[in-house]
Amino acid sequence: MKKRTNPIPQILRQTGSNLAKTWPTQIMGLFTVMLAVLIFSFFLLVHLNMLATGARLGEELRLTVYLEREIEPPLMARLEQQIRQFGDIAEVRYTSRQEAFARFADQLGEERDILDNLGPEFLPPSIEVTPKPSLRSPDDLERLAAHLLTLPDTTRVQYGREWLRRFSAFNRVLQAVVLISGVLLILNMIFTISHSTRLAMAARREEIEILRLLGASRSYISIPFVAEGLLQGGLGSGLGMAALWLFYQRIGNPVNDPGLLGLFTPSFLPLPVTAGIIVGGTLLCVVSSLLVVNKALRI
Amino acid sequence: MNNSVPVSDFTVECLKLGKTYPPDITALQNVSLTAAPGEILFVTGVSGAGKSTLLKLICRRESPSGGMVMLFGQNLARIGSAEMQLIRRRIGVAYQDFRLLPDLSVMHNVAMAMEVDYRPRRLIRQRVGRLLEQLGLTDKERRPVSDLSLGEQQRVAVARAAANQPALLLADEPTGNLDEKSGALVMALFRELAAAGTTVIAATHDEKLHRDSGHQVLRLERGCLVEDTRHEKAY
Repeated sequence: MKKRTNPIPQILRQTGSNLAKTWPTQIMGLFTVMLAVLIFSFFLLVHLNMLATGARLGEELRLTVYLEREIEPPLMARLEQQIRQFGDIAEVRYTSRQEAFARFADQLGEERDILDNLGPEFLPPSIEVTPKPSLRSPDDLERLAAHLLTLPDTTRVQYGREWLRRFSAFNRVLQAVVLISGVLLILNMIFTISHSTRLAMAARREEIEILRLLGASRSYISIPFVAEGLLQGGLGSGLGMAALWLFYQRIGNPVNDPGLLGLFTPSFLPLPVTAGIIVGGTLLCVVSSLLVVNKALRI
Repeated sequence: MNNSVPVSDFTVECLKLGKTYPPDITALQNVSLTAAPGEILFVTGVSGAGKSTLLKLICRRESPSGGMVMLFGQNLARIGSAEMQLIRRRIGVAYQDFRLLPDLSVMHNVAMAMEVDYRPRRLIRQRVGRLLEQLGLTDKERRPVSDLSLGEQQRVAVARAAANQPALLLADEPTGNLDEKSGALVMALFRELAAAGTTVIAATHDEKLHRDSGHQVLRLERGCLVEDTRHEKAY
């Protein structure tokens, strides 16, 4: 019986020899994969941070129902019941003129003396309604505001309607950008790796033909090319994520500045997402090169 | 799946083999032959007689237009591509145009045949070293094939065909570019392989190679078998 040996060193040698023959193409491929991953993960990073910011702002979201006159506790209890009937209401709180005045004075701080000649009468009493997180879309809030306007003695309902609409629209655009860049990333990787695998196979066409005549198995011929795809995908995705991290280190900290009122507290992509992008990118490259090699060897 | 092992006394059996190239060029017609383990068989004839075509059909580089080729008891037409690759590892072929990789070293070119069979490195070095010594190429071991003369390249092609100690060795004009001394080295290698059980089929138009060699000769003319010394019968 003929002695057989471990094929892995042989495959590694073949892969090394392939890389040595086609390194300019391989480096271009690597760079393209890195750039594609960087662009996609950048948009994903911005989108996830905007979602987190939105969620944080949502926690502070309140609708203020301004009333014509002060109301007594029995009426307030009735109004609260009416408000809660809308559903998904976390908290309903009445604020009298006096409480509103005290809060305003607190907010003015050292400038509170401008209120010296004023009484609480100029401030209207109000009801603050805090919706649950499930009730935070602009449309839902608009319906809630319309419901609150039907309450007796209501003069107007205030919340950051326009701001919320813009923020929500911006997030939708960002989501579309993430989706589109994701699709482009996939197409770009498939094209790049297929192209570089095809070039590598063309460079070794004669050798492949001889190997087939010598009885080389399909896996013996194809594994080095697939290994190249693995290397390009893994390294390209890893470098793309590393570039994003460096970018985040430079940009993330200034954005976190207290001067921005703590509005943005950016964070890098979670580890599972980072690992998912690297693994996904690698798999995409492996599958692309596998498809090209299989097609070429079938002919 | 059929696990039964086909049993045959012959390494190669060709039955009424024919090959026609488009539009209507008959390269081989109704050729039948057998070759047993340890046998050396010369296929002779002038250029265009069908010698190379016959070898190409035997190693399934081309498919016959008619007839059948049996290798190691298996009908080649019924063998899948993966299984055919396994069979190819048992066949050594020295091509007329050598089919070597010019940028690779002599050593690497010869070793390829054993590498595709996942043979241990140590064994490959040993076997390739011995073959190159037998064919007078030891000092060329590390040189790229492109630096060699045609005669040297031909011997490299023969060494690669013999590397795996194949059960069947097909050689197309193996001494076409060789002087008498180098031709003798190649023949000595063929005899050594045959003694170990390899079936050697060599296509040649070099009369000196087979004359008085005592080996069997098949003569082809215009694609037809016209002489088989084993049967002492003219067709």
